Amino acid sequence: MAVSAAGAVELDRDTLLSMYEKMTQIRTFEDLAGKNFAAGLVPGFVHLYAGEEAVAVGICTHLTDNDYITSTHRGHGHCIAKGVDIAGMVAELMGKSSGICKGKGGSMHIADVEKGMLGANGIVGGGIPLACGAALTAKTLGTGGVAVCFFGDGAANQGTFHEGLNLAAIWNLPVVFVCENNGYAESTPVRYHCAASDIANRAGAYEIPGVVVDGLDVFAVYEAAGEAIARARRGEGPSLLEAKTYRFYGHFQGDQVTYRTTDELDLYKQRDPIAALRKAIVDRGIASENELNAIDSRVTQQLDDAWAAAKAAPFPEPEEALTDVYVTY
Amino acid sequence: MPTIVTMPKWGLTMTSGTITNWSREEGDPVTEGVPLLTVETEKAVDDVEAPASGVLRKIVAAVGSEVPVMGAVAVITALGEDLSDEEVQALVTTRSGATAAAGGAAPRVAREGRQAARDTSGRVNASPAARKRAGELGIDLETVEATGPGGRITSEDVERAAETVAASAAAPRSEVVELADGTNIATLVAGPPEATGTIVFLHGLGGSQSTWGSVLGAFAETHRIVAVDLPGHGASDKPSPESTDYSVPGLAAKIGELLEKLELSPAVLIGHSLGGATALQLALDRPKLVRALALVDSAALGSEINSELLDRVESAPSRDEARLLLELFFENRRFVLERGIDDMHAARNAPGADDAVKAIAASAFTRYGQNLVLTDRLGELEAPVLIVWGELDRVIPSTHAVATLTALPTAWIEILEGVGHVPQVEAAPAFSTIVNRWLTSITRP
Amino acid sequence: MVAETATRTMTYQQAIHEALQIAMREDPTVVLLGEDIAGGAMVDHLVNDDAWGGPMGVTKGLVQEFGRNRVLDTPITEAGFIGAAVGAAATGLRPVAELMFVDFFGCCMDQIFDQGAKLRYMFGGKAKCPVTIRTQIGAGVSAAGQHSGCHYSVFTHMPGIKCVVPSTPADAKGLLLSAIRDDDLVMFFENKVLYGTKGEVLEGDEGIPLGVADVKREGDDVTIVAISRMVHQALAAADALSAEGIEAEVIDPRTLSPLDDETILSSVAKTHRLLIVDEDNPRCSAATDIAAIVADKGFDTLDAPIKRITAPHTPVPFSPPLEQFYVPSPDRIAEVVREIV
Repeated sequence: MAVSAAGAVELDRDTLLSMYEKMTQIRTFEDLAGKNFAAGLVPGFVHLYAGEEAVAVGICTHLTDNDYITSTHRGHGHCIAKGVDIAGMVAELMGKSSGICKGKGGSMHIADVEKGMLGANGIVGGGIPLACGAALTAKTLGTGGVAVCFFGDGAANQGTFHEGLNLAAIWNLPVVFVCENNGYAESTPVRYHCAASDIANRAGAYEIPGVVVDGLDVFAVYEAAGEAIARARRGEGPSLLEAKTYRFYGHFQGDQVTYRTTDELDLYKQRDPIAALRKAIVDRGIASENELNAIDSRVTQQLDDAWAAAKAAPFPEPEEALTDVYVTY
Repeated sequence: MPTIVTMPKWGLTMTSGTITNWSREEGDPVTEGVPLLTVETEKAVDDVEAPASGVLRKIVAAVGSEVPVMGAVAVITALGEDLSDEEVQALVTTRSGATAAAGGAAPRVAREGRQAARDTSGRVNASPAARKRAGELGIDLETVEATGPGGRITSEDVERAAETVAASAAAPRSEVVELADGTNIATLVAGPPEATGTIVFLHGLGGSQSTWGSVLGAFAETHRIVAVDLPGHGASDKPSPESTDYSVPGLAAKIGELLEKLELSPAVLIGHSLGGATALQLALDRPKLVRALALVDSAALGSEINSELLDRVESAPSRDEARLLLELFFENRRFVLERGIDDMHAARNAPGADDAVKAIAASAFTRYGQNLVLTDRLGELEAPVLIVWGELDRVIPSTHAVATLTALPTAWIEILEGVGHVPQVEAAPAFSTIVNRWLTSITRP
Repeated sequence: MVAETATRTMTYQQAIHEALQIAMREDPTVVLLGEDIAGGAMVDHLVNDDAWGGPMGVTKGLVQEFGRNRVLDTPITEAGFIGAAVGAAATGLRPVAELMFVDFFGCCMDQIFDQGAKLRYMFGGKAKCPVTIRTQIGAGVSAAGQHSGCHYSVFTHMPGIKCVVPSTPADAKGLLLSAIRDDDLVMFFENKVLYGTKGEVLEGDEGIPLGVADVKREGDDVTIVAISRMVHQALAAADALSAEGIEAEVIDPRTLSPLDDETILSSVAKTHRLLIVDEDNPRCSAATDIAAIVADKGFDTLDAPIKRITAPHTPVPFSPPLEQFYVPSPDRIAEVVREIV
C-alpha cells in the first residue's frame, strides 16, 4: 500500500523547519564529503546518502535519545537525523582524535550510543540482529523505547534479514525494520538480485505488517513511520517499511556508476526530496524562501566550520591504536 | 639397620688401600671403636676401627685385596638383624654405585655423557640455556660432554663441566718456581683457588713434601696449600754447597722469595724439624710474610739434639742407613715400611742430595747441640704460634716445646702421647685435628 | 563478595548451573538466550517449566526461578540471537548466550567477530559489549566431525574477545561468574566430556579472575601447559612419570585471552623444558601461540625444543578407536616428556 504526500499530514512549523534543516544538513554534509574525499582529505571510503534524506529524517523525527537505530555503510544521513554531532562526524571522517569515535572507526563506523545511534555498519545486514537486541533490551527493561533498523535492498537477501524478522516476530520485539530500496545493491539492480518485486511483501512470510512507502516524500515516510513506531511502542510488535528511494551518487565515491544512465539520474533529481519539502513549506505559507535560504546559509556555515576545525585538529597519537579494545584486560 | 664398612680416605692423594689383616671373622661380634681391619697404603699402615657394634655379617674384601677409597669392605648387622645373602649383595652393589646416583626415591635413568653433536656449520649443539650459562661461567662449549637428546649440551652439562673445572683447579698438582738465582723450587699445590688462606708446609732434614701426605687432604678442602721441597731435597734443585747458602737463614731467605713469587703472603707456615727452624727464622726476619706459625718437633727451640741423627747424616747413604734413620724418627715401628725405606734411600742418593743434607747439617748442628737457637727471639713474634710435639721424639726432646711457654705465653702447645719425631705421619688424624682447631681459632675475629 | 572456604562436591555441569543462578539472582539485567535452554517454549503445559533445560541439562531449573522473559529459548538462528545478544549488551542488558556447539560458529561469526568484538574499539571506547557466549567443545563422545571441535584458537586470535577454558568444576563456577560480570565479550568454552566430572567447589559467589593460570601440579623436571580437559590427561601422565623419577609441573592457563604467560615463563625458567597439550588441531593453535611466546621470552631458559601435543590436522573422526587416537592421551604425553628430559 503506498502513501503519498497528498494525504496531508499536519506538522507544526517548528517540526517542518527542523526537518528541512536536518535534510539540508545531510545534503550539504554529503556534498562536502564527496568533494573533500576527491581532494584526498578523507582516507578510505565514503558512501553518500544524498537523495535519500527523506527516509532518515521522516523516521527519526519520531525518535528520542531513548530509542535506538542501527544503520549501514551509508550511515551519515542516519547519524545526522538521529542527532549525532556533525563536527564530530567530520573529524571522524578525517581520522582525527576529535572525531566522534576518536578516529578509530571512520565513515563506516560512526556511532554515538548515548544518542541511541548503534553505529554505521560495514557488514551488509550486520545491524539487523543488533537492532533486535536493542529492542530486546527495551522490552526486557521496560524502557518504552523502540529500535529502528535501517538497511538496503541488498541486505534484504542476507540471512540476517530473515533471522532478524523471524526473531522479532516471535518475540514481539518493538522494532521497525526499514528497507531503503534505492534500486541497486552496489552495481546490481534490484530487479535482478531480489526475488520479491516489493521487499515489503516479505513481511508476510513472518506475518508482520509490511508497507511500501515513497521514500522521496518526507511526509509519506513520516506518516508510515509514525504508525509503525506507535505500534511498536504499544507492544504490538515489529513492522517492515520499504521506502523506495534513490541515491544521487554512486555506491561509493569513485564509483563510475556505469550501471545507471544519466537520464535516470536526471529523472530522480527532478524529484529531489529537499526541493519538494521546500516547495511544500513555501506553498503552504509556513515559511518564506528567504527564511529557508537563511537556514541554507547557516547549514553551509556550520559545515564549513566543521571542516575547517577538522582540518586543523591533530591526528591521534600512534599509541592510541592500543587502547579501547577491552574495558579491562 | 646394617652398616657398611668402607675404605677410609687418608691423605690427599690416597685413592685406594690394601687390606692386610682382618682381626675378626664373619659371624663374630664387633664393638664400635675397636680395630677391625688393617689397611696399608703407599704412605702408611693403620688400623680401621669398626664404625658400629653388632655382628660382622660379611667380609666383602679379603686380605690382600685393594679397595678404592669409599668402597665397601664389610657389612655389620645389628644383633638379631637378619639379612639374606641377596640383600647383603644388593647393599654392597648399591653402595658402590651410590656415588653416581641422583637423590630421590626413584633414580632417573640418566643419559651417558658423550661428545656433543654438531650442526651443519660445525657449531656444537647446545641448548639456549646451555649457551647462556656457558657464557656466564666462562666454559668453552667445545670441552663439554653432552647428555641431552640428540647429542645436545644442556645447562646441566655446563654446570657439571664448571664443577669439574673448579675441582681440577683444586686438585693437587706440581708447580715449579724459579728463584732469582735460578734455583728451581718444586712445590705441590692444591685447594680451591678462591680460598682465602694459604698454608705453606716445610719438611725436615732429608725429607720432602711427601712427609705431609697424610694430612694435606684435610686442609686442601678449605685452604690453598703449598707443600715445598726445600733446596737440596725432593724434586727441587740441589745446587752445590759452594754456590749456595744452606744455612737456616739462607734457606729462610729462599722460602721468603718463594712466598713473594707465589704472591702468597701472608701465609700460615707449618714447619717440621729443620723446616720448623726455617719457618721460625723467616717469621723473625720477614714478619709481614707470615700470618701464623706452627712448629712441629722443630729445631732451633733448644740446644739439644740426638747425636745419632748426626751419625746417620754423616754416614754414606746406604739402605741400612735409611732404615736406621726412619727407626730413629718413628716410635711405632709399623711406620718403618720397606717401601718407605726404599724411597728414603733413593732420595738420599739423588744427585746432589747427600751433599746438600750434609751441608745443612753441618751448618745447623754440632755433636754438642744445635748451632742455631732462637728461643731468646721468640718474644719478637707477633703472629699466633702453635707448637706440636711427639712425646717420645728421640731426635729433639719434647721439653723444647714446653720451654717456649716462657717466651710465648699465648702459644698453643700440644704434646702427642706415644708419638715420635714425625707426628704428621705417625698420628695424622690427631695432628690434623689439632692444626684445624688452631686455624679456626686464629681466623675467628 | 564474601570470601568462602567451605566446599561441596559437585559436577562441572552443576557448577556452571550454580554460577548462572548466582549471576541471575544478583543482576536483573542478566538474561539467557539459546536453543532449548529451557525447551518446550509455548507448550501449554510447560509455561514456566522446562522440557530440556539445555541439551546437556546445564540450564535446567532456571526458567522455573526466573521465567521465560529471562530464560529465552531461541529458534535455530545463530546469527539472529547471537547478534541480538550483542545488540542487547550494547544497550543495557548483560546477556549470556549459548552457542550450542562451537563448531556452529560459522553461522554467527560476523556477530561475534565483526560486531561484538570490534564495537567498543571502532566507537572510540564509547560503547561496551558485556556479553558472555557459552559453548561446548571437545571430542570423546562420538559426536563426530561437526560437534566435537575446540577452535578456541580462532577466538583467542581476535582482539576484543576473551577466552575462558575451565578444566574443573571449581574453576568453571568461579570463571563463569567473572565472565558474566566482565564488561567485555567473553567466550566460555565448556568441554562436554567434563560435564560429569566431580570436584570440590567453593560455596559463595566469589569469582576467579580472568587471566590467572593455575599450577595444578608442581614439579622440577618439565613444564606441561595443558588446556581444558587436557589438564587431566597431563596429570595422569605426570603420575606415571613420577614413578620413573620425572616430576612434571602441570599448568592450567584457565584463560587463553588474556594469557598468564608470566606463570608459564617462571615455570620454564625452573624446569628448562616445555610441553603444551592442546586438543585442538595443530596449525595456528593455542599451543603454537604459547610455544612462540616462550621461544621468544624464555629462549635462554630452554634446554630442549618446545613440544606441542595436539590433535592431528584432521576433522574429528567418528569411530571410537579413531577418536581415541585423535585426542592426546596420557601415554603420548609421557612419551614426549621422556624424549626431552
